[in-house]
Amino acid sequence: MSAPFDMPGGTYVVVTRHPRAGREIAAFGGARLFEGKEVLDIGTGHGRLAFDVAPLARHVLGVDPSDEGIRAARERCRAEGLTNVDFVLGDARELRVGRSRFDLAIFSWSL
Amino acid sequence: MVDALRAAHRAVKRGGFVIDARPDAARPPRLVAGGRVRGRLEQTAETNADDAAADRAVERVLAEGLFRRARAGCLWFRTTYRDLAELDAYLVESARFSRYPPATRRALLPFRKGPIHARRALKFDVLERL
Repeated sequence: MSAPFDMPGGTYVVVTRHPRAGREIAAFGGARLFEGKEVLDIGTGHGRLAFDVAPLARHVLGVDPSDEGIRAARERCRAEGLTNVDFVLGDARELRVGRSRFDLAIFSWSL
Repeated sequence: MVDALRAAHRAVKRGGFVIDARPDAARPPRLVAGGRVRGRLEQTAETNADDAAADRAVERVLAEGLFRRARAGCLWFRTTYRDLAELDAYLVESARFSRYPPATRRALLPFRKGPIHARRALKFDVLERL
């Protein structure tokens, strides 16, 4: 469950049926895989994994076709004062994020 | 799906990584109540088809030489439902899971006041960008 964050419609928390924060990072190869890296989270949804990775990475860009998910992720970003995470609307098949820019891309439950 | 993997290939530096992580369709969630496995959840036919297509997409980009498989594995995790009603409500909303068989419902009924746990498998591939 995320920390509560405010949106125009009220205060929200994100409840997911996913592994606890940090478990996926450990399974994928541990913090070392993400430390200081430029990370692309494709199909970020509400940014669940992007927020897990943010404390380790240099920068995380979350991409998702859902306007509602991106708005919620941006709100949480503002509420938590994070400066190394950004979210943009986009389709995984037509990424407009630059060539050879990222160290790591993640499809988490999104391929 | 192949298009998405090719787009990720373009976005990632040579020697970087692409991670694909998804619920493992070959290991359906086990429903645990009273300390024992009482049955399994079933995926929708559409989700099974999507998962198979995603598996094929990964194998295709490997065969095309865009990536090499650096690591693969499976992560087990547990989600908890307060009671049977909460599990049923989740299944109504879930795009991934459709139902559990009648025999599983009979096995769960004595534990309807919960908690009921689902032991789920997440499989992942860590692909190195070539």
